[in-house]
Amino acid sequence: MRNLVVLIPEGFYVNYFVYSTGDLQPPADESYQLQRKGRIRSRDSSASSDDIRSLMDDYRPKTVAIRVLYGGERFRKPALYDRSILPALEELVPDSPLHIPPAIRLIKTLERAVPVPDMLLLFETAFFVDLPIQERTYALDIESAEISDGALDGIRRFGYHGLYHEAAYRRISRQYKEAARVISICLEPVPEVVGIYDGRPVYVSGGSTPMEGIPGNTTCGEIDPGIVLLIEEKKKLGPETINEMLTRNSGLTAVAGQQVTIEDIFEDEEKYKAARDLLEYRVLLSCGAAIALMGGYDAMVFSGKYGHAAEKLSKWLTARLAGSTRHKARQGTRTAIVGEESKPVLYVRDPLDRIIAADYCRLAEGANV
Amino acid sequence: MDIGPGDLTTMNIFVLNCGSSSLKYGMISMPAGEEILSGEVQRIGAKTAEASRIVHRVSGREETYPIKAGSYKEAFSEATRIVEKDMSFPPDVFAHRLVQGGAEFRDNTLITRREFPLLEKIRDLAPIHNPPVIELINECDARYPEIPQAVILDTAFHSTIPEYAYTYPLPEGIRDELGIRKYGFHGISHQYVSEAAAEFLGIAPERFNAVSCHLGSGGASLCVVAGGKSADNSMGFSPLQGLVMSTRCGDLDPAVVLKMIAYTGGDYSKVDKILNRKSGVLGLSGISSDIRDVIRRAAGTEDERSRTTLDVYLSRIKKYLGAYMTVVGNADAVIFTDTIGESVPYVRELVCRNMDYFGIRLDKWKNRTATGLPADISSSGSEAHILVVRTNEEAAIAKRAYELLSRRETYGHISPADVGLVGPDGSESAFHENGEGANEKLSRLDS
Repeated sequence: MRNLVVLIPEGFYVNYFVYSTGDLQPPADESYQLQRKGRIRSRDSSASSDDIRSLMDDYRPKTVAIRVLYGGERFRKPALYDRSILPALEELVPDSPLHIPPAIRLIKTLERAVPVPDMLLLFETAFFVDLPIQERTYALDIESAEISDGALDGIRRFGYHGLYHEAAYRRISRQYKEAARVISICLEPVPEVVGIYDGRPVYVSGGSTPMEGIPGNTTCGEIDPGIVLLIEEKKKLGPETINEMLTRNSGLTAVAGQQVTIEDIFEDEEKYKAARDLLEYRVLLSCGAAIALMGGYDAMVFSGKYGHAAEKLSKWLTARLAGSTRHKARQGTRTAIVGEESKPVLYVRDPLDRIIAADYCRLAEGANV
Repeated sequence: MDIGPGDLTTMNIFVLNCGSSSLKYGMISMPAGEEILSGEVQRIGAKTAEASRIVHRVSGREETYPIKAGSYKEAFSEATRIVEKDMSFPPDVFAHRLVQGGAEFRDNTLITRREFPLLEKIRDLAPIHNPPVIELINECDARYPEIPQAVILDTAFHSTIPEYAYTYPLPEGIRDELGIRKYGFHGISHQYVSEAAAEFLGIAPERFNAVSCHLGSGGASLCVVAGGKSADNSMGFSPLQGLVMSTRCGDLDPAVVLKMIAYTGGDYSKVDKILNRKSGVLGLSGISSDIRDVIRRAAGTEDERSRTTLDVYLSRIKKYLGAYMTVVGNADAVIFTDTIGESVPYVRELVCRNMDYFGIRLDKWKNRTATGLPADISSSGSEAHILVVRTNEEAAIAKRAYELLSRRETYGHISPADVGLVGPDGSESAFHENGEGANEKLSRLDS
């Protein structure tokens, strides 16, 4: 029996999941057994190194799969770690100063384990590297010397739940082979809508960071860029404090007036009506945009941890997309009807660690990982 | 006297429409909506490379006068001097276009000296557009104290946008303190063209649903029109949000704005200038802020940067059109208007391409030959009409000003909804005082 350890860094913690990998027979993702899960505080790096090493000692995994939030344009697929990867990761630090350094520390800790496990790095942004140029480009002159000598070089749109979306797409195309145009909605604390055409994302609500797009539990989502300037002008808070406000104190929590999650706002219909109306509306707008870029859609798939919310949201959404006015025209006028018939909707309920375990299994089948 | 809105005597409304360095004016005879004369003072300001001038149009002639116009006050004075050669001045009413009315001015209103302090509160809300308007309102009052003045707002049409669409999910404290919400813009134009489109199609305005695309050579926005009312607009708190515009970036990750503020050492005004004046089509293409130049270049050469610019520009419009068609659900029409929307068939064709899902099918030949506006350029199989409608801001402003006066005539007094004035705390207490002011000036109009 060989073990796989999945590591998902999240804020001040590293969540770990120990799987026994069985015989790697397809469908391997179902033959995997979760043995143990937990979290390690990663703020204090020396203590966390000890915890990681004792985890390695206990399970001696052949492979550790690490979720990395950002991989820039360099990482367009999962990467098996070798020494050449470290400099490439270090180059990404300025783009993602909060997420890359802890990932590097984690890798360095694992390198000192005995025996050294194989390390598989899975990047959330990899799915989005080949977004069409019109979708990834902001209407800025980023090479202009005026903005601090190219400090914004490489600013482009990505997307931040690539692992969920890819798995969701794989699932739906297995079940509905004819579904070429898929709307994939990931309901996590920072939700994301993606339009996938023939396996390739052509629309994504997320931006160069996860701040843009659909408002989340505490993240603001898309706002008028002028508002950021206004807040700085009037309050002189500085970028760090404003960043804190927009990522930790905004979103659905700010609308509800108390700490809420997406799951909460679909539980109490009356109490959180304002927050739910806003979320539903923003997801609807995103779906419309995705449909415009794909020329229609064939199926919809939900993923992410808020499964109950997904069911309720999907009912509302598909009703709106199918158009409340099926009865065509009024006398003498023509009326556009959005959507013709109901389309398949699928829910992927796997948590991210299981998705990563399945990714590992798939890769291990294809190559000698 | 008991008279309805249609029974008012003819009046001449002088419309003043301030741009960032220009002043458009027009004398409109209402209720006919007939333009007696119009013109534009160009290059207003102390530091312009070329001299200021007035392009004046009357009875089919166009005349150009070199003038000195260091300020809007001077520009106004020069314009009135030229207008006076053609007709008696002052007019019956002055109507000013106001881009951003904030919380103080939510609806079109008649304004008197009593409301002038409220104007000061909105001066900074649109730092380029509002100060010249305030200057002109003061000037009209100083020179023609007996003539009523109407303020017609770009934001008024959007006051019906629902809460879930106008709310930015930021902490309530900062929203309230800084008045952060979606206001929307181009409302005068969106309302005007959607009324014209409804009339063209023979649909009652209150049953008319559409997506209106105001594609200007400068600013641009899309608007959801549901039951004749605005239900969303792609511009937001400021005109910076939404589409890719001539020099504005439109939608942008707020984190990128924060990075830019950090990199410039907190110089938000520099970032403001970059995002408002050096981004958009200009920033992307590096050659021109006019999408028509980019189209020519992209078609004639292998210039990749121009092609990317065009793709980003069109893709953003398509995304909003799809989003808004989904919101409307049963659109009678898609409307194209303003400079680019009216005169660039290529943009209309590409925006409407592959939009069958939304019931949008464009007839290429009709599209290319659309000259007499309004024109329907949809193919016979299209479920939504696709209309090209000429916008006319001056006529639209005059129409709204006339409505204000008619409403007052009908009901004999100004209601809070007419005046649209509320106290700084949102109460109506401030209104009574202000409302009386408006009535006073109107009684002078009666006499």
